[in-house]
Amino acid sequence: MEYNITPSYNEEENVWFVTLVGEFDIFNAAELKAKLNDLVAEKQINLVLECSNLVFIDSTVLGNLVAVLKNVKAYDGKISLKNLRPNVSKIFKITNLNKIFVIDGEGEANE
Amino acid sequence: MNEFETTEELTAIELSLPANAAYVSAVRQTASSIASRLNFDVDELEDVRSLVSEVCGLLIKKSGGHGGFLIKFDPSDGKKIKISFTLSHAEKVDIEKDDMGLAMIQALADKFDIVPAKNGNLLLSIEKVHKELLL
Repeated sequence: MEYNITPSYNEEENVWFVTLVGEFDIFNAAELKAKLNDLVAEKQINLVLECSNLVFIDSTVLGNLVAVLKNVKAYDGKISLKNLRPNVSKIFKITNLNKIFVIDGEGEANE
Repeated sequence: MNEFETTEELTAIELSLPANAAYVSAVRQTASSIASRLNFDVDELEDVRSLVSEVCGLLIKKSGGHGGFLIKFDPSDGKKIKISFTLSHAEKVDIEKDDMGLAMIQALADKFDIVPAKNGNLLLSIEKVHKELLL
């Protein structure tokens, strides 16, 4: 299963920009969580996940993203997901997590 | 009918899988390949992939990564795919009702059953029906 997590710091917007490529499931969910948590520990800024080549996620990944979001919210930050594919977007919708993550600029986390 | 088509009925396919997360992607590929023979569309194929992935993930977590489970794909109906998962030595396995994976399975599957078997096995089965038949 090929996958890639590529972080970069966007100085202009002062955000972590993370490109996710491939499939993420129970196998690599912990790795993704650890890398995202490392980023927010280094700089307490917003996270932007670029998902145009993210082809699959499961509930384990979702749960881990929620855990990272908890850390991000501790400093009033946000996690945005950009360019979700329809099948991935569907997963966020059926779990109602589209209401707590900022997805493609639409919707805001419920306070 | 072209040279690749057959009049033989599709028969069940079984996978014996170690309770190892590394193999879940292989199950998704297998499920997708079998479901595509039933002319499921892209959305339905993605649902099938998610379903098998969620059930596998659930069983792997419950088994603590020990042992394995048997997966049986049954497309013989021709209009739906039934996938059953048998986890052995599952006497003490309990599936929490508020598990997110369970919620996803219930949302995506047209039918979902959990049956504790008498011999200590746990049987989970899911069905995905070709949506043309649901209209």
